Amino acid sequence: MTPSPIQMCGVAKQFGSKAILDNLDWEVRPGQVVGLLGRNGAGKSTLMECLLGLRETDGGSVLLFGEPLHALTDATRARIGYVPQKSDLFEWMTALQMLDYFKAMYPRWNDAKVASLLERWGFDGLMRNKPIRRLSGGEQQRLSIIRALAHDPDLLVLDEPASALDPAGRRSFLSELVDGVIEQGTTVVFSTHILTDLERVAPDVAFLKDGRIALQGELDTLLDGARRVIGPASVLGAALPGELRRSQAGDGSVCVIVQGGSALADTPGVRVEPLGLEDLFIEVTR
Amino acid sequence: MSARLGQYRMLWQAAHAQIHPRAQTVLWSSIVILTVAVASLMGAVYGVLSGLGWALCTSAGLMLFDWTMAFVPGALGLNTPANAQLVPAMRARLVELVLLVWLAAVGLLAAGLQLIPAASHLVLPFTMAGTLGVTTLFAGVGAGLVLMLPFFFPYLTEGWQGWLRDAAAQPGVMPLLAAAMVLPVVPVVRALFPRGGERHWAMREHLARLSDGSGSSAMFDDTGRYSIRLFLSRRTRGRGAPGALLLRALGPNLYYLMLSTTIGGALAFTAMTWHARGTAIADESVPTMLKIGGFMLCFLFPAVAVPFWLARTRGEQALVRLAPVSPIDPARFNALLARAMLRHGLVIWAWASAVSLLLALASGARGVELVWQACLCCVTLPGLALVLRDHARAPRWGMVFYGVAALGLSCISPIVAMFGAKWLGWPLWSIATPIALVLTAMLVHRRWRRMCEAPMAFPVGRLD
Repeated sequence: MTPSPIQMCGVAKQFGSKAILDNLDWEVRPGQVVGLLGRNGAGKSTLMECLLGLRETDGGSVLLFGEPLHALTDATRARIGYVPQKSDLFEWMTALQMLDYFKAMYPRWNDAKVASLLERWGFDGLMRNKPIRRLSGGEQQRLSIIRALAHDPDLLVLDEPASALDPAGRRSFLSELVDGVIEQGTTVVFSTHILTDLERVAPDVAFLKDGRIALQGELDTLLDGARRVIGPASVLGAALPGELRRSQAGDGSVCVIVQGGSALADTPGVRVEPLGLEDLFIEVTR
Repeated sequence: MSARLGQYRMLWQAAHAQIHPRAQTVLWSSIVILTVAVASLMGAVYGVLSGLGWALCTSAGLMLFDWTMAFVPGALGLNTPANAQLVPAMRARLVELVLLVWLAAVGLLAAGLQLIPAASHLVLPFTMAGTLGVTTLFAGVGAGLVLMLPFFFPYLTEGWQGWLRDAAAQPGVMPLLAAAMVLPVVPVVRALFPRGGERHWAMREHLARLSDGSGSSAMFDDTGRYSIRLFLSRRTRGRGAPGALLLRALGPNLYYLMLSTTIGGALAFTAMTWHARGTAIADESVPTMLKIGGFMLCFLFPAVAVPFWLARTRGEQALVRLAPVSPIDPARFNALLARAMLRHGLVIWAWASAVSLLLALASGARGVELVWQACLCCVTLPGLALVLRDHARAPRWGMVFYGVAALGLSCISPIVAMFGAKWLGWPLWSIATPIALVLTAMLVHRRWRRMCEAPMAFPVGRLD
């Protein structure tokens, strides 16, 4: 059986006294494309850094392609691509020097893909030979993505990859992600705050809240079943099936967020509203 | 070329390029020029075998200097947490290369020392420990402090120093000592290159504070509030002195640099005077004076690294440039900045020189020896011209590069004077000093003119 690209079990991480990840269990299956959502400071970057072994965890275990982080083989590491939130390129090198540098380190390197991406993403001869520190934030981000895709990774971890890109750059990146990566069967985990991007590329979403994956599933299924149920406390007093969150308004009415539809749609005095991704995000991560 | 050799080559080049685009050229040309110069000079004076020994020692010394100050700091920059953890074999190759270069340089030094009859047996182990110690401290590995202990050798009593020298001279002790020093190398180098984890992130922050233009000074993090207070209290005075205002765009680091230079100099003066009570220094005044002078003039290097500090405050420089007190004409603006920077450098130089002379005086130097000491101070003057340049276009160098450049400029006049002294039969310093002064005047004149003709200096590096 092919091992899962990511298996996290009981992972905990604290910064000082603040728990960022709290006994988190998560598994990403081969070929799955998961959008990781969470509020600012929820720990998305920390989760990604912990799952790649860039930070030590305080507890739990992480396996990448079935191998523990402390014993990743070179062959497994060559299967992983990572785009950090802040592009961590060697700013004193030119774009070409940086790509040559990493090419020397990887057993496989897709020169044709690199050349094609450089051309399509506007890296002309001048830009390719410019020190990276003199490129704009968006250009550096694009270069960081090219670097991560160049060795045809089987697992691609992207931490807010489109945050510095303009709309045209974002569209181009997303189409590359869909055509050149996702359709090749690559497993992708990416975090973003741009929900429209997520809806375009990620069949699955996971919500990170209070250090755990609060909700995960296929995006379409989640959106089909997500409802906001508003009604009097006398009717909505008991916990509803699939209840995610409950709050009480000033007028005494109760608002319940449920997942999996609600049978109360025809109940007098009860209003059932479908939720969009943005509403779901706000409600789940509140 | 095998894939592994190709990776070593790539890592070597990438590490050096981080310090300066031409760091490798400077390194190899320095090795060739200095090795040939020292070998021919020493060969002519002490014989061919000694000359060969000196050649090996010089190239090994320069390699170790490069290893400590350029290659390893550059390699640390390559080893980001993501690369260390995810790029196949990168960290392993870095560790291997760092070890190989160090061992090769140490081997070269050991071979060279064997050919120099008068060489102290302690040079090799002390160099091994010193290079490892400096590197580990640079990387923020506190345990490296233990390796710095040999630097305190001069502070031991004569009896202890003699005992150590005799012990090291015993047959078999040197190889044993060298082997013992090789043992900690692997764990030390592995500690320098962590593979992700919190310690790695902490090290990155430490390195960023030390060398990244955007970071604040590592040494003066907790003292920033004092600099703000100082800035506010001097604001009124600053209005009348545009040059001072421009220089304050260097940020609080420069002020604390001056402060630390002053306090460091005073402490060194006190410590050396206390240590020299009696006759220890007076007995061997000339070599000791040179050591004192060299030690004191280390304080000068931060003065020539002003452009390095300048690169840290680009944001503030835009505001300073817009301030009404700043001249609108680039030539006037640059001239004002050049004057302020030169004056600042001269103040540090004068202070370091004065302390150096006082130390010599306290150690019993009189008459001509004091004059020599003053001459030694003068040969370092050309380095001050480094602060004058086209700041808008010039790339930012690493601080080490400024130190190396200053050292190189300081060495020109003594090296030329060596040949002059041999030919004319005059004392070396009597030739070196006028050469240094003329060189300083030429460099300052030329670079001043270039700086004044350049575009507006602030914000620095914008046209790089």
